[in-house]
Amino acid sequence: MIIIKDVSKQYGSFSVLNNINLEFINGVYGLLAPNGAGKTTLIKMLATLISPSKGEILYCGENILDMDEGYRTLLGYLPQQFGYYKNYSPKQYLLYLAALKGIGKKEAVNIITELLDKVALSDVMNKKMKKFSGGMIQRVGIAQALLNDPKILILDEPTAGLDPKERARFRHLLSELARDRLVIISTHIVSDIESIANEVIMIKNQQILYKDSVEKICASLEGQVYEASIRYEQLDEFRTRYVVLSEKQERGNMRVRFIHKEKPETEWQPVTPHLEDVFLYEYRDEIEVEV
Amino acid sequence: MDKEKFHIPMPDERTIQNQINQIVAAGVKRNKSFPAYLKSMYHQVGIRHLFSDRSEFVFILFIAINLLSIFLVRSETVLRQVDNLYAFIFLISPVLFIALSVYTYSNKIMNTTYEVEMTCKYNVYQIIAFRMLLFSIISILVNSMTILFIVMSYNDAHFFRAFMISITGLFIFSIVFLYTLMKKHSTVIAAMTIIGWVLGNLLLKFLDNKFYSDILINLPLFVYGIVLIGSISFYIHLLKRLVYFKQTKGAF
Repeated sequence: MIIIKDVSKQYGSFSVLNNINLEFINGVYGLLAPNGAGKTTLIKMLATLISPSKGEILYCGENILDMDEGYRTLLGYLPQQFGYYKNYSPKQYLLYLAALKGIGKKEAVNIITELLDKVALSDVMNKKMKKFSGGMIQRVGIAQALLNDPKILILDEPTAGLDPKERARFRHLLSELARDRLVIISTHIVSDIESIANEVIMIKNQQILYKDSVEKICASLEGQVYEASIRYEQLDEFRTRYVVLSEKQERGNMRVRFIHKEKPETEWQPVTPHLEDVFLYEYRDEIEVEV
Repeated sequence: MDKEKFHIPMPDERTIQNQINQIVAAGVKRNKSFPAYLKSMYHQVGIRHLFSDRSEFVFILFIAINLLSIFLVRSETVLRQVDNLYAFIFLISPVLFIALSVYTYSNKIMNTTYEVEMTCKYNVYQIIAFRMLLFSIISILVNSMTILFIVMSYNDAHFFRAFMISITGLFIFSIVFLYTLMKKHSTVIAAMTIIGWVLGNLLLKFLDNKFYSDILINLPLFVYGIVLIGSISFYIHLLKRLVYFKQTKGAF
């Protein structure tokens, strides 16, 4: 459906993405990487907001930039910072965007009612958005991305500002939508995509690190993730010797989850690796810098 | 074993050309013509959404009223001489267009809604092109009305000459403005174009008053006509390029 072919993006001498090759068919794809890894750049190229410095992106064999409005008609896009007109109600704003998407008014009114119901905003559809919380605005953003029943749905950090209940509702909505379309979600929150993504794409050092199912990516750490209880005083030394993924207090001791590639100690308990473990392990340098 | 030889007859030049044309017609998508694009935008998006911002209407009204009053006040005091009046009309003719276009441009490009609107079927640049065309028409109407009022109080002024000076000024400025905006997307550049227009005209007026006055008062109207037709067609050409502008390619 979509092929990213030898795509690189540079800003002057600064390289953001280098020689990216990807292929997407229907289903949910999670683009997972820490902030600044180039997720948004890739997403913006897929949304035709910026162009690759090298390479091309093809939809059914045709360059998406040449397809022009033909491609935009198939596209639903939620940017990282979803902009809106404060004095508009969700209904007014969606009517406006529906017009820009070339949807007739009568048809748009029905679609909007249905979509606002799906994102649980029916009761505030005529209220001005300036009074809305971040989560509510984000839900308007999700609704606008679905207005034209897009074949390609691209969502950049869609769960930012959503509470756990809203996140769960959103995941459910996406699974439903992905049955007959391509959904690409960029996120740095592992739980957003762990349970719904058919494939996860991880970017590291401007290149694709993984593009595989969650199971296969997790298998890369099979037999290397352990949990152990240690005394609080041992924690600093433990951190210097092993890659610690998480730590929590447990009955006066510390329960640590960590990675070790050689022979384990007998008291360590081997555990099944999760996507979060791979994420924390692969991006440990970037994450330490961020902290 | 004897191999059967296939003979493929070579088609004649005309058949080849016809088939090439058929393949190209089927494979290459033609851009809609500019009027067809405007028409489909008008029908599918509608004027209500093309001018979605209510504050824009207030702004248009405010600028129009101010412009009219500047004209009328100035005509009473400074512009007793007809060449001064024509120079003033030429200088001021694009003001309404400037005000509306700069507002719509910066409002659309700088707004946080830019990314969402850029990925719609009718994107930000197409909306801007549509609006600019309409602003030119509004400017012509407002300018004509103002000129009509002024000419009534001047014995030496001719409506048609003043009208031609005004529209020529409007379209020459519009071309310069649109061209610079398309080359460099920045409000600073837009502001510099406007300042350049005002200073350039004032310099011409004060440095070589005779030459400038001659052009304004004595230049035959048909020359104005030619310049005007040329300017309008170039302006439409630039608007067309704005409609088909691909932001991603970084150039028009």
